[in-house]
Parts: sequence; structure tokens; C-alpha cells
Amino acid sequence: MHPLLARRGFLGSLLWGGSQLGLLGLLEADGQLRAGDQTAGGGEERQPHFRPRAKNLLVVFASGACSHLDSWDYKPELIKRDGQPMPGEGLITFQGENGNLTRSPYDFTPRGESGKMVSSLFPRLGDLADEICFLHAMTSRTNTHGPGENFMSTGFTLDGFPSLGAWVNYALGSENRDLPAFVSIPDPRGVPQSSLNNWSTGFLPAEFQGTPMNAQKPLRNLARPAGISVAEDEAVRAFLDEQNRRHATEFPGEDQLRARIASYELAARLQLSVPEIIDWTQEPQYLLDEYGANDSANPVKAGFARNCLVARRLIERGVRVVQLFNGAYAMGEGVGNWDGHKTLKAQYDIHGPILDQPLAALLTDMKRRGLLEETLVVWCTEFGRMPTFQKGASGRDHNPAGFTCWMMGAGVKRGFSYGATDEFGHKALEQVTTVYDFHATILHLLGLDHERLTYYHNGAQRRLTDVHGHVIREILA
Amino acid sequence: MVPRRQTQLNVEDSLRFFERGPKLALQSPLGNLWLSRLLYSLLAIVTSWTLIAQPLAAQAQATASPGIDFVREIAPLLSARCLQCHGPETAEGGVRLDRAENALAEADSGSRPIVPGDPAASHLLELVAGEEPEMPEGGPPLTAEEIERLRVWIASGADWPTGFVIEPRRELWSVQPLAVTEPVPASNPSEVLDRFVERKLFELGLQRSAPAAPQTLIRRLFLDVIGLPPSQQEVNEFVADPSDARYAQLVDRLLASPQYGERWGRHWLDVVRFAESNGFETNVERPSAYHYRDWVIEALNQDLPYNRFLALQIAGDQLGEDRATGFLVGGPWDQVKSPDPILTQNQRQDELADIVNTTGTAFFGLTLGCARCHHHKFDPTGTPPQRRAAVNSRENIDRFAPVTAKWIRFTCLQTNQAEPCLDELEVWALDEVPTAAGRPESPGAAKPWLNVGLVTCGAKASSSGDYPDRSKHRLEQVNDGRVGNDYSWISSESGKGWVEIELPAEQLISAVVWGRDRNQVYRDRTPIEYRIEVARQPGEWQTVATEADRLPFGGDAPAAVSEAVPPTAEWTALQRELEQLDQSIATLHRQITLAQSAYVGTFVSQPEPTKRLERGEVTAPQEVVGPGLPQLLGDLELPVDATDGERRLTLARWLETSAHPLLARVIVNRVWQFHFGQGLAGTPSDFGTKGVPPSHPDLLDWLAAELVARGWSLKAIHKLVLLSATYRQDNKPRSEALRLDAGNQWLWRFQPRRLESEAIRDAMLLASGELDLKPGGPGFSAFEPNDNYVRVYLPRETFGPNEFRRMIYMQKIRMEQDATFGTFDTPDAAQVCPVRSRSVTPLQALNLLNSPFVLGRAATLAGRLQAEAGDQAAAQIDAAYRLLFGRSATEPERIAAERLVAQYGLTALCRALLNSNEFLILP
Repeated sequence: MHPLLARRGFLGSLLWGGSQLGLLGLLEADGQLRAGDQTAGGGEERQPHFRPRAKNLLVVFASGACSHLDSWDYKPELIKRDGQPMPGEGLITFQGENGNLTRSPYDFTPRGESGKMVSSLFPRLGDLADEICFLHAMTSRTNTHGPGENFMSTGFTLDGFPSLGAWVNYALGSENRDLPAFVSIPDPRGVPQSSLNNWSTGFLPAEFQGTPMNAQKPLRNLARPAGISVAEDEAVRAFLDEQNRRHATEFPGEDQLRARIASYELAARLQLSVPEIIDWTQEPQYLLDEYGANDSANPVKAGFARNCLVARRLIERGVRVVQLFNGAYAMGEGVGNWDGHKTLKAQYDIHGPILDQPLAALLTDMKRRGLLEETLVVWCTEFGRMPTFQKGASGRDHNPAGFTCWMMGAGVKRGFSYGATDEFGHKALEQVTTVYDFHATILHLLGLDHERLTYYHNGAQRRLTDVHGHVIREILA
Repeated sequence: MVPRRQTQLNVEDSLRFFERGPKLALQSPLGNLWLSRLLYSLLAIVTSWTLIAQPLAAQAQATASPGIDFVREIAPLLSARCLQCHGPETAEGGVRLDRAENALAEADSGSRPIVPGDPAASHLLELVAGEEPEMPEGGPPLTAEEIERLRVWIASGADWPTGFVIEPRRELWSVQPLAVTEPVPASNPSEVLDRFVERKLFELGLQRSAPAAPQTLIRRLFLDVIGLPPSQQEVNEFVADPSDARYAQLVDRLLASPQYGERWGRHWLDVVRFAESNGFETNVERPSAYHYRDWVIEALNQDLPYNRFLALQIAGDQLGEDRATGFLVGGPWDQVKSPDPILTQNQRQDELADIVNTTGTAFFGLTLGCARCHHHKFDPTGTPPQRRAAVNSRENIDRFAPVTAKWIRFTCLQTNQAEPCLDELEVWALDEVPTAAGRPESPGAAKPWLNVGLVTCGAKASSSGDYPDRSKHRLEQVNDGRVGNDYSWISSESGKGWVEIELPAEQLISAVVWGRDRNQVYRDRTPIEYRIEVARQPGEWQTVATEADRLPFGGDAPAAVSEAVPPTAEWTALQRELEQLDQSIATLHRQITLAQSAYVGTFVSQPEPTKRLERGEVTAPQEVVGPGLPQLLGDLELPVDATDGERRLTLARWLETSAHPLLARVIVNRVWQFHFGQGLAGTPSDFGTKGVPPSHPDLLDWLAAELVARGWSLKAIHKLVLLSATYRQDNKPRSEALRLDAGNQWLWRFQPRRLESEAIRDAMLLASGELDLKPGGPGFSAFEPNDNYVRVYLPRETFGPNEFRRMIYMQKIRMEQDATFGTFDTPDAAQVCPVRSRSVTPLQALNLLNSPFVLGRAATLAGRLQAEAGDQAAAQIDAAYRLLFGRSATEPERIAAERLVAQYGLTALCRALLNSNEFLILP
């Protein structure tokens, strides 16, 4: 039997892992089953090779390229040389010419016992500086948003590759039989720029796909349709089950038919569990206040706070990967996300509070509950922004040469900073960290070797990290 | 009407062109032709594929010797032509030519194959030379040049670097000549096929299942070949006469049906990752991309010879079928570029790698994607496909986020010809933020849109200069509420000019609507590049729209409401009628445009030189490389400076005439997979070293040979398969066979499988009586209309007859999925999909149980059953089972169904049955 299957058990594999047949098919597609050799499983490659430091993963994605220079990456030299031209040749970046070096409109102050300099954009997240492991020398391969999000979420700039969450789902499956193993929570304002490619299953089978839902929009087609009573719904399902079982007796041992029958039972369980788990109103008043979930003055912030509560509830119930988006594109450049080209201060004054209090509350809440013992939290964005303002504007252009992401929780150092950009925060200089390294490290913390987590597609054993990536050992706790 | 590639104006918004010359920031030093890279990358895949790297010292030593280079010139020759018999595994006659200690020593016969410095004494030369050379046995003789090369090398001392061992060339099975054997004489070709399968079954102690019951077989055949279940009458007729002759008739009929191409064509579209949007963040639609889909369907329906089918996709523009080149430009394309030339070139490189990889996998079953990095030779750089500024001469709506303005200026930067003309410049305001989709509310609504730019509203127009002839064209007409050429403004300057509207007071506005001639008599003088700016203070212009973000041609127009009068019932009714007419007109305009333009490739004529890029880096161009094919496929003998047309035409001719076994093997395997659910070779787009070798290599070769012998007729191969006993056998598992071969690799039964999303949706519509079999043309959308620059695809919540066509005509948006059926492993068209997964998930169950689409079909189906079977529940139930499953209900089924219907009605039963395994499985 395929080890993945053996480990997860028949029903477990059925839940989000498809049927046995599906897995056999998967092995065949994987090139591991050859003619006449159905029992020869090569599943070892997908077995975790070492004890995981984290069982769950929460990815917070600040969509639109959140400026490291106005948040986490303190550059005294940039403040000192505010208004001066940047040394070297004239910069031509995404939107065109750049103006002078410009200091952040937000002041940096030392935070926590570590004295980490964090800007006033994120006052409450700054409170948690001692818990965070900063990666200050991140780099990306692209300076456009779509490919940038693809790269951060799937390891490839092109569309159509499996997302980090799908890979982890494929490798580890679900801990909770009543919930999807991988849930994506889009921002209350809409989907991120690369939309569902961020939680795509790519060429992996559909069962590894992220399931999108949030506090605003529950899972599509989950609810019993209006106009159909509970009794009728149950009668229809009972009839269907009987019909299918009668049919299946003609096909003894046909796993696909059994899997389909089981999928309706699982669907019924989902119908019970998902509305319950997404129901943030069950949370006590003090927590709603702490997250800002009822902030009537700022409905977007309240919406994001509710999503944060949903994220915690999902992680708590053992959902393997939760992807929480902060920012959406549909409203235009910088309006609904971190893409501060034109008027950075005005836009970030809106976006900062939406992220700060709810996320800080979520992290604090998780810590209190001991969830950070087993959960790795990752904060990321697709790339950084320039130390200069764009010519004729008061905002920053795209900068894939250096930016900041951070991790927190299971398996990583607390109050630690790794890597550095140059004196202005333009280019990653020390301990340069690629997105591949970032992914390799995340997989490592989940007990997976990024070089061995592979899936055959179209002539290649594909990996999340392509042919790159090194685990950043220096940040492991 | 035969679509043409449009070069005139009014081209469709997303028409994509490959244009001559670098554009924008893409000042590539490396030239701008991509097809040479396609050919070149084909070359890149196999050069020195099999030559094993040796210690560097040995290579250095070898290259140091003058004259013939052993490592480069002799070792590959021996490897390819001699080592299969005279290598480490099979040292026939005691002769081994893989290492010096054997090759230079005495063989069993006493002779020495190679005597350094003495060609005359070297037995090897004696054997390979002459009129009828003895060696290589069973293969073509060495060429004169090869023999001379060997002779010179031996004469100069047969330098063999110390320790150098030549690895035998492992011949890739898929490129070998077809090995055609027929197991035993048989009365017809399908029987031959069965003999191949039986032989393997016999070896394993398995046997084929009994023939399937007629009800099962006909359902299988219909779902398989046309993707729709048979009608009750068709089932009855076949059950009454399930003879071979009758079955063969059915096969012929289905293969001749237009639905065949819609079913089998879907697979080809998967294989080439066809989609009708750009992908990436903007993911804008390509409204005229459907022509390629139509062509694929038509070509397969007409049974266009497969070699021709391939050739047209490479050079259809030169072979009379432009639509076929939709293949070349069908991939994802990122329209968001950056002035940073390196990053943009890398973007382009990714896109080109995708084109090459798709061609390689689809045509050759070779995964050329790897060549990009591993041979460091794939060097795509060049011009991105430029979006030609698209223009609607009739009416254009430029929406933007609501903005406060007192002045609105429309600046024309370029026209299709002559001085720009506007028949009206309208400034639209709404006293609240538009709806989420940014669409105007309908005019009957409480808060109608207003054109605040009208002179009657107190707005004033000014311009950069007016046309001297004022008989028809005057500035004051640009905001007088009248449209058409006779009431228009024309600029004084050719190609440019601006018009400004000053509002009486600041106003929140959110759209500017303009046209050249709403009556569509004139299409010249249309601004094709323009800028719309607004200002609150004089001179403080802010750009709110340009041609880059305008609506696609034929977009919905806000109805002409000029004033907020209290609507009367009559007014509302007329208005609604007007709206509908407007929409019909827009639709027709759109169709006219689409019918005469197609999303296909246009090409540069003389490509600039192609250069190798060191490690694939666009910043490290190396030597110039000419176009070619992978060595193992053949040689196109193209000069380095061949024109683009020559290159593609040469490749197309090669595809059509080479009869290369790889082409035939790959496609017959796809046919096999189409019918049996899994191919004889399990990696249908990878016949390379990483792919899975076929389970029945002899059968695959025989089928490939049949294809070539039958003039590359795919229908002939379908028929051969469909008539076989292997295909017609029963589908029930047998425990003893399951133990030996659970995966049915050896075909001891027909393996039932879950239908694909398309077949499920189509079958539901057929059952409910709503399926519209209209073929071809623009598709329908699964999403609400959306004009956002970065498209937001929100699934449709309601469905009407327009959406009831077959799912292959659902506009294929990259990465986005149909809300109900997308979870059934529908490919996202970002990457190629040679074989679909068949997963089973609870989300699928939820969608089929609760989605508005399925509930709607259940209700319609119930209505149909009532109409056809009368009021009696028993009759309705029996009709339901016959319609959905092609059989009567059994007694227990009837009892259960009657209970359900009695309590909850017929719709409840229909909802259940549309979810049933029997309905969703290809039996």
C-alpha cells in the first residue's frame, strides 16, 4: 500500500485526498507505477523525513507589495539623506523614473526588549517584535504584481503551478476530517491580484486545491438551498445514498464509486462544520474588541479582523494550511492594497490600521492559546518598494531587489533578524534570501525536504522550489 | 465567413500581434524573432544527449590532439552505431568498442578492430566500408564521411584518452522506427488489436471480460465519442438489434456527428492549454480567440489528416488556414510590463519557454521545457506581443473611479487616419459610487446616470483647433446631445487635437463616453491613442483613462438618458425595449467584428540572428545559432538567415511529410487514452527518457503504422479501437483479476470512469431538454461581465438559454473555474494538461447538490417528465430512469422513488438522480 495512504487511512485519504483509485492514478501519473508493477510504490519521497517543528502553517499575505522601508526595515542613512539623489545611475523602475531618496513618513522607535526598530505604521505588531524572526534580505525574480504573487505563493512566476498550501496538503493531508486541509481567506475587499492562482492546485489533483472562504463569503454551494426543507434534503440524500449503494453492488471493489458515496457523507459533515467554524460571532466580546471585529468606524478593518478570527478558529481545529490575505486589487492601484505608488502616506494611513490591530490580536491570541507551539506563522508580500519616491509622485515604486518578510512561532527564533539590505534599503546585501530559500525553510519546519517533495508533471519531477532553495538554518530555533 | 487577420482598424481589443521591431523598453540586442528559437530549442533538446560526460582531464587531453577529436567525433559515432551489439552488455563476437583495452586488442576472431596508425589492418574499417558493408548489422551503412573520419583517426594514431569509456547510446524507444508485427492473422484490423491485448493477458493468466450488455455498450459509446448519452430511442433500437453490423453503423454515425469534434477537440485544447484570456493578474479576455477552437473542432470533424493538422498549426498563415496559427499565440501572456528591460525580457523568456514546451509536448511528446536550463541553449528574447490599440469607432465608455472634476479633456494622440473626429463627448455622473462591477444602473432606477457635459447643463466646450469646413463639423456639436457624423467635431490637426468640457461647477464624475460616429457610417478619423484627463483647478490635469484601459469593442452602452424625468410606465417599457435593442445591436456589432478578425499570429518576415544565452541569461548573449530540429528527429537544412516564413513552412512540411514515428506514436496513444481512460503509455505528452514506457509497445507501434498507412486519418484509428472486443467488453470488476491487475493496465475489463466536467454539464442539459447544440462561434461566459483593468471574475448566479450550449463553448478564462463544474478537475489552461486527474471531493458533491445550475436543471427536468409522462408518479419515475440511465427502474428503485416523489415531488427525485453515480460514470 502506498505509504501516504497507509498513514492517512482510507477515510482520511478520502476526505481531502481522493480515493484509493485516485491515489493509484496519482502514482501512475507520477511515473512510479510502471506496467505490471502496481504495488511498487515510490511514496517514500513524499514522507516527511524528520520530525516536524510545526504542524500547521498560517500565511499572512500583504498583497500589493508592502513597503519594507515604511514598516520593518529601519535605515538611518535614508533618513539622513532624505531629499538627496540616490547615488549611481538614474533608476528606471516599474513605473518609470525615480526622484530623490525619501525617508519614511513613519517614525521608527525601538520596540520590545530586543529594541527592534519598527515604524509607527504598525504600533501593535511592533509590540510583538520580540516574538518575530525578520528576514530583511528577501529578493524576488519579478517586479510585477501578478508574477510576484505567483512566485511568492507557488515558487514560479508563471500561472498554473501548485501553491505552497497545495504542496503541503499533498504531502501531509488533513488533521481534521470535517474541514478542508487548506483554506484560503481572501480579503474582505476582494481577491488578491493573482486571484486563485495563490491557492491553486496547479497540476496536482483537484483535491489539494485551497478552499476559499472568509467571514464575508462562506463556501459556495455549502448551504442547503433556499426552498428545500431539512427533511426534503435528508430524504434526497438518503435516496441518493441508497441508489448509489445499489448501483455499487454491481461493481464490487470499485473504489471510485465508494469514494463518491463517501464524498456525500463528507459534504454533509462540511455543511455542519464550516458554518460553525466561520461563525466568528461565537467569540467572546473581549476578543471581538481586541481584534477590532466590531469596529463600526472602519468596516474594512472589522472585516479583516473577522477573517483573523476565522483563521485562528481554522488553525485551532487542525486545518493544515491557512492563507490569510490582506489586500485586494479590484479597486485599483494602492486603493485596496499596499501598492503605494502615488500617495504612500495617505494610502498606508488607511491600510496600516486595517492590518495592525487585527493581526496583532490574532498573534497574541494564538500565543495565549499555545497555538504558536505547533503553528508556523509567515508574513509575506510579493516584493518591496524603492527608497526613492517616484518622480512627480509621493509614493514608492516596486523593488524586487530587497524586502522584508517574517516568520513567527513553531521552530523559528524569536526576536531575531536575518539578512540586511544596503544603507538605503534598496538591495539585499547580507544573507540574501530568495523566495526558494523561504519556501525550503517553511517546508523544512513542516518536516518536509523541499528537494524530495516532488510530483511528476509533463517530463519533470516538479518541486515547489524548482531547482533552487536552501533551508535557512540560522533562523531555526 | 472566413476570418482574416485584421490589420486595419476596429480590430478586436485583445487581438495580439507579433510585430516587427523592438517596442517600448524592450531594446533587445538579441533580435526579436521567436520562432527561430522554437526551432532552435527543438535542436537544443538532443544534442549530445547520450554522450556521457567523462573526466575533464580526459576531455582536455582529447581536444588537445590535432585532427580528429575523439570525444566529439569518434565516441558518439561508436556509441550510436556500434555499441548496441559491441558494448559492455552484448560483446558480440567478443568485440567491445566501448573502451580502448578491448577495441585496440585482438578479438575472438583473431583480428584487431582498431590498429592505431594502420587503417588497412583495422578490421573495423573493413567491415563498415565497401559496396555492401557487413556492419552495422541490420542498420544503414555509415556515410562516406563517417568512414573517412574513422580512417583519419586511426591513421593519426587512434588517440583514445586514457580511461575513457564510451557509454552505449540508450536509444529512446519512442523515436525508433515502428516495429510492426502482427501477432496472428486476423479477419479485420480490430481483431488484430485484440490479439495484441490477448497475448499480454494470456502471459499474465488473465482473460478478457465477456461482451458488455448492449445498454452499457451504447451508453459508453455515446458518452465516449460524442460526450452525450444516447436517447431512449437509440438505446431501444440497439437493445433490439445489438448486432456487430448495427454497432458498426453506430460507430460510423457518431464519428460523423458534429458532436465528435466537440468532444475529442476538447482533449486537444487541454493538450495545448487553449484559453480565451491572457492569464496573469489582468487576465483580460481574448474575445476572438474562439476561432482556433472552432478550427480544431472543424478539422477533427472533417478528419483532416493529422500530419496536416499539425502543419497548419505551425504555418497555417502560409497554407491557407490562418485560424490554425491561434495555436502559436494561445499561451498565457503578461500584459503588465516594466521599463526594466532585463525583467521584461525574463518575462518574455518565460512566455516563450511555455510556447516551446507546449509545442514539444503536444506534437512530439518531448518535454522541451527542460532544454531551457539544462542545455543552456534556449534563448528566447524579443518583442512581446503588442496589444494593438483597439478602437471602437461607434461608442466607447471609459469608466474610472469616481473623481471630482470641473474640467474634462479628451486628448487624441493618434488616429487611424486624418484629423480626429468626435460626434459627442459625454461626461457621466452618478450621485453615488457605482455598483461593484462599475456598471451604470438601469435608467428606470431611482438614481439615473446623467450626462453633465451637455451644453444644456451649462457645460462649455473648447478645443485645440477646429476643422475649417464648418458645414457639418463644429465644436458646439461635441456636447449638444446629438450624435452621428453630421453633428460632430473635427480637429484642425491631423492625428491629434483635444476637446475640453468645462462643467458649470465641480461634480463627481465616473465615466466619459465618446464616439466617432454612432450611426456607423464612418469609421475613419477614430482616435486610437488618447488620454482623458480631469482637473479641479485650471491646468492641474489628472489622467483618468487612456486607450490602454478602454472597454472592449461592443461593450454595453448606458442608455441615453439625458434628464432625470419621473419615469412613466410607458417610458420605462420603451426604455427597456431600447436597452434590449441596444444590446442586440452591440451583440451584432461584436459578432461582425469577431467574425472578421481572429486572435492569431502575425509574423516578422526576416528574423534577426538568434543567439545562445549563457545559462539562459538574457544579459549574456553568445554565438549565433541557426534554426533546426532535434537531431533525433531529422534535419531541416535551414540556412541561418532563413526568413520566418521559410522556417515555419519548412517545419510544417517536415511535419506533414516526414512520417516520423514519434508523431504517430504520440497521437495514437492519445486516441487510446481518450477511449480507455489511460494511454498505452501513461505519460501521453512525455515520450522522452522520463516518461513511462508503453505497456503494449507492439500494439502502439502497430496502431501508429496503421495511422500512417491510413493517410493519418484519426477517425480510422478511433473506429479500429471502438470496434475491438477489448473496447466492447464488460466493465465489472472480477476479484481474481483485481488481485493480479487492480489498475486494469492489461485491459481485462473496460474500466468505468467518472465523466469530465464538460460531459456532466452537457448531459444534465440534454436530460432537461435545454441543451443548445449550436456549433462554433463566440462562446458564452460563466462569469458576470466585468471591466476592471485587472479582471474580476464573479460567477454568474443565474443561467439562461445563452448559457445552455455545450461546455466546450464556455469562454475559457485562464485560472478561473466554472463555479459548479470547475471542481471536477477541469484544467486551468495555465499549463498543458495531457491527462486529467479524476479526483473525488466533497466540494464536487456540494456543487452538484446545491448549485443553482443543477437545481435549475432538476426543476426543468421534472417539468419535462411531467409533460412527457403524464401525471402518474409511476410513469414519471420510469421515464426519469429511462431518460437518465437508459433503462427502466428496478422494483426497489421504483418503490423508493415513489416514496420520495410522494413526499417531496418529482424535482427532489431529479435532484437525487442527477447526483447519482450511474448518471456521472462512463460505464
